Amino acid sequence: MRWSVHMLIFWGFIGLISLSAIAVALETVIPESSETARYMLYGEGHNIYKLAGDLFGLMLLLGLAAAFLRRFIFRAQQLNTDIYDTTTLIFLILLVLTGFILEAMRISLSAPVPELQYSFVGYRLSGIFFSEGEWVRAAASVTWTLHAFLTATLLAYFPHSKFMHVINSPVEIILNASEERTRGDLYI
Amino acid sequence: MKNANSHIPVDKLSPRRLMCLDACTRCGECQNWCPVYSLTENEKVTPRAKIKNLKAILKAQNGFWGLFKSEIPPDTMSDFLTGLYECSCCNQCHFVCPSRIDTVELWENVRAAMFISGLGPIPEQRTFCQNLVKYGNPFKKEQSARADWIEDGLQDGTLLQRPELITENKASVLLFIGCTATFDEKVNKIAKHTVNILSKAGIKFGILGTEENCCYGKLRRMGDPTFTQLAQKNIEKLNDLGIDTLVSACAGCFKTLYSDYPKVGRQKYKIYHLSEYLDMLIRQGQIKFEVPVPGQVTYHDPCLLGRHNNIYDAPRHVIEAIPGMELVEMERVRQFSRCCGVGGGLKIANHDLQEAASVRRIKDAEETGAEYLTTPCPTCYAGLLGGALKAESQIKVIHMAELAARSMGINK
Ligand code: SF4
Ligand code: SF4
Repeated sequence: MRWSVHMLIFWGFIGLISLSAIAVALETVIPESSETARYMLYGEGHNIYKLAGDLFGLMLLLGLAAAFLRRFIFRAQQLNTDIYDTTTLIFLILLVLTGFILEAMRISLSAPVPELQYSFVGYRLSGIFFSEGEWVRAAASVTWTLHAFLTATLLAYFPHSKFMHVINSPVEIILNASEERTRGDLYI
Repeated sequence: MKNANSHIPVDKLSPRRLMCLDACTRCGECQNWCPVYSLTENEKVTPRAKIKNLKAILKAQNGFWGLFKSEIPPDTMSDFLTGLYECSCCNQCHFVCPSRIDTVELWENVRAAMFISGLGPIPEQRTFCQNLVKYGNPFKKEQSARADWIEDGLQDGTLLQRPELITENKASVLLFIGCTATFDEKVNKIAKHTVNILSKAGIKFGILGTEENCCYGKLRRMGDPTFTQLAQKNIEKLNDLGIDTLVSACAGCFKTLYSDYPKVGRQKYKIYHLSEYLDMLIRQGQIKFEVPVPGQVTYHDPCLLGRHNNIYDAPRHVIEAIPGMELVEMERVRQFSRCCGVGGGLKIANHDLQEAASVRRIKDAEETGAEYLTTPCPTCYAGLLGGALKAESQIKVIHMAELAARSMGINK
């Protein structure tokens, strides 16, 4: 169970980070006139990008929900939750939720084209916001600001939090494996 | 010990170990396996709690907020001290940690820093270290008493012949007896069996006798910095002997000589644990087990031999070479062998806890239905012997050297 939770959060994160990296590359290094940029911005690539975005977001959300259940509802015996674990979890849940809400608002404000359905989560959620045009526009700005603020805070909080394991654990695993290899006692 | 606000000198912690602190994901896997936690359910001893407390202390003493409020809650410091010293340094947590944190290296590095700052170890351990440095052995005996087991063995016939001194016979193989097998009367038959085995196998070897020094591994385990200079002296002395092989019948001495001394200086000889050496002699045909020892035996992996030094197969080969003997494994073996609690200074810090750990291991052994429980380390042997007594167990705890000697027909 705990490995499934970790895998959902891990791959959800990796997926979203990779997609963000693609978006940054399209903004900065890939020329707009190139074949790749056209495919990604206006062609089928755009739809796949949206689909993948929602898929990874959903994986992350599911993982976080399961983590929440394990910690606070089922209280798995080996877990010991402190304030830092709770902060980290709430941070991530808020980040993903605001991400989805923002997407839904954006969809509800754009012209209804069939391609929007590729954002399968955002598209379904957008129904909530259809009626109230102006209100949604204002709320979208607030949500965007909140989402951006959370992202920036997360980056600032990162080195002081258990997020550091994202960097230190793999480094530890690699260093340890090389030390064990040097000593000749590498185990499985 | 100093008060809770003495500083842990962060500069004495290596960057490599400090990095581990942020590699802990607080997953709690270590808690599922820690032999001490399984006995006490005291969360403080788990690596997760130790790392969390250590981080809190270091942050309070060195972090930004520490500039304004550097007091450490007394509970945090005392919890950390309990966790750090009521730990047998068995290395089980390292093997189950998904981040592969080298936990015991971390504990020993922190223990060294604590020793320097005066925050640790606990008073009994500090006195132990002082006595070890003063007497040159943990038993507070005179150096001249290092030959007593020889005289006793020759007198009661348990020693076949007087072992030669390496300083006189200039042999290339040194049998390093170690303090426990030298001074502990319940255990010193191991020294006699080992000498008998090597003599019968026709090995040209020698011992240091009253010239032998403690390996001082216990100082390292408890963080006493005197270890480095005493180890250096030992290395020079052993190098000067001109030997090419050193054999140790103790997992503790072996770990110290094999894994700790290389960090202090270069040793010009190969180091073998007795079980490896016997395995080699059996394969070379120099040792023949001819007398059957009928019965089932189960094997306890000493932490310092197995998890710390990756020696799992050699002792099992020795057992399997004994005619009539059938090896039956316990549920937790090799990398997952349950610690008998004797190591890491736990026995000094909390004797009852150590005894409970040994009793628990005896239960593991009993579950196999074996008649014998064997191990190739005098310290584990002594701990398990105590555990069997306490548990009123029928299982016969026997050191591997005694089994081998019996099968060579040299045991009385
Ligand atoms: S198993 Fe390793 S990562 Fe998990 S809590 Fe223990 S020390 Fe931390
Ligand atoms: S070294 Fe052994 S006793 Fe110490 S914390 Fe790890 S598992 Fe527990």
